[in-house]
Amino acid sequence: MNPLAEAWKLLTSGDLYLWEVVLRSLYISGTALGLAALIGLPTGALIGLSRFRLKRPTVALVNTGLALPPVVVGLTVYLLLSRSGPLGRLDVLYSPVAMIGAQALIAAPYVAAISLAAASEIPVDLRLQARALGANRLEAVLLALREARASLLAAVAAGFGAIISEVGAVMIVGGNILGETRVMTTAIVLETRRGNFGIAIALGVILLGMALAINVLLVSIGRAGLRRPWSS
Amino acid sequence: MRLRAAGSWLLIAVLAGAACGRGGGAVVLATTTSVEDSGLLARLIEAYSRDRPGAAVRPLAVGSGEALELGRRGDADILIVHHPREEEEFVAGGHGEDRVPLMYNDFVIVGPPDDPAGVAGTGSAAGAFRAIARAASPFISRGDGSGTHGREMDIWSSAALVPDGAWYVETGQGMGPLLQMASERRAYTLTDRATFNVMEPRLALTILQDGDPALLNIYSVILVTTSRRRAEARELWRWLTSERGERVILGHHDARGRSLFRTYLVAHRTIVEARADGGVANDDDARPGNWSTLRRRFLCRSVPPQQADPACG
Repeated sequence: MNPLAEAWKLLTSGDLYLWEVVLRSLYISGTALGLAALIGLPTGALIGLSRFRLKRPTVALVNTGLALPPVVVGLTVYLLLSRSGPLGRLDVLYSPVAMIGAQALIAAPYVAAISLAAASEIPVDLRLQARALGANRLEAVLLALREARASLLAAVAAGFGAIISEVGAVMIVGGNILGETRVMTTAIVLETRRGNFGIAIALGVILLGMALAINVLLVSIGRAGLRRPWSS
Repeated sequence: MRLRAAGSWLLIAVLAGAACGRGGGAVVLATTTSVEDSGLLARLIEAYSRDRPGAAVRPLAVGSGEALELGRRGDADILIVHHPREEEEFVAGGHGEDRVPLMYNDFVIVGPPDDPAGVAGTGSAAGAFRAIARAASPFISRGDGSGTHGREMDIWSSAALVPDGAWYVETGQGMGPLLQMASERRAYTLTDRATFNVMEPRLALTILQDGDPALLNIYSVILVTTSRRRAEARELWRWLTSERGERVILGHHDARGRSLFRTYLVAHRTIVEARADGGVANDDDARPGNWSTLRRRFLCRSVPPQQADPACG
């Protein structure tokens, strides 16, 4: 059977191996994204909204996070979690926990940097107006963030796009163990190496689909964002 | 604007250069991760480049299974692999020729020094595997169709066991990364001695079972029939199977000065000479019958101290 036909058959027959790997990818990247959003959104947004003396270098630092090679994050996490490392006693190397941690560290700078940029776009007047109308400081900030919610969603989507297709860090800290730490990307590497192109293509199609979906989401947010509610 | 145009031309030039580089006469040598992880691959390439300046070799360290796949697709020109059953199928299917034993060492069963499953006293590979299964001690498998994986499966069969359970873990990685994982997780595994010796200083594992004839690990070199660079590949084949090639292999030691691979200078000289006599087409040498004679001579002359095959006489 040619690989494309085999891929089609695997996609439509509910192959257990295939969907287990897909679900695990979603679980690991989804959880990591949750953590990244928890850290990155408030951090980026608050830095963007505030004015303080070291703001410029801080912004530069956060933006460097976008250039951080994911595989270097993987290496660092590996060294931290290995038995000879400081966190070795946790014994979480080669488990989904380690992978979630590494991916959260990769995605957080993405989310932070883009939220920062989004928050910087919000006109200062908006908060002033809110305060003038009786809102306290916290309410003013939340209102401002609500206005930029589309861009903040884009920040989260970008973070997801970065980690769902990442292969180096999850291979290093996860070990590609069947039934435990094998995700779409590492499975594609293995199955391609073994010459099992059918399943590699099937996984690739799903991964591609996710990447495209994220892109469509980002584009539509971008288009919607052009109609800024406060500039009329 | 001018800068942008210059940039475009530069990009085109780089891409063109890259495309040309790929075409060339670089012979693709596909071999196993153990040959690379033990450091031998780098040494062979370096020595060959010194002896034949201008000859380009591109080494790919994958697994035996994948190397044979590459050979079938014509993506590799010459193979060094260690999966006898699949090698025989490969040659029988017309994909390979001039399959000759190049070097050998053995597989060993390694595990945590405290040996919770009691592998050390079992006296055989199958016995060791049975002990591990009985104790349900963590065991890590290559799970990737490589030569090592094939041998591991053979040993499970000989022990009449199908490994199953939370203790048995399959990872899709090479021997080096797997050993690191086994060291971290205090697990047992099957490995080739060369990779283990090279990595030993960094691992918390020891050899618990070796010497069983079932653990003999012979690497063969095979020429791919559908290769587009037959002449260059044959050049490399001749060099590898020559005395020079064998001395390079024998000269590859680990940190303690032990030879990681052994060769047998005379056994396959018969095949090499027969072929050099201008295609005597002596396919007798490639027949299963003579392959086992060759293997026996191979074993008897350079057997490690623990093995004494009574058939050697």
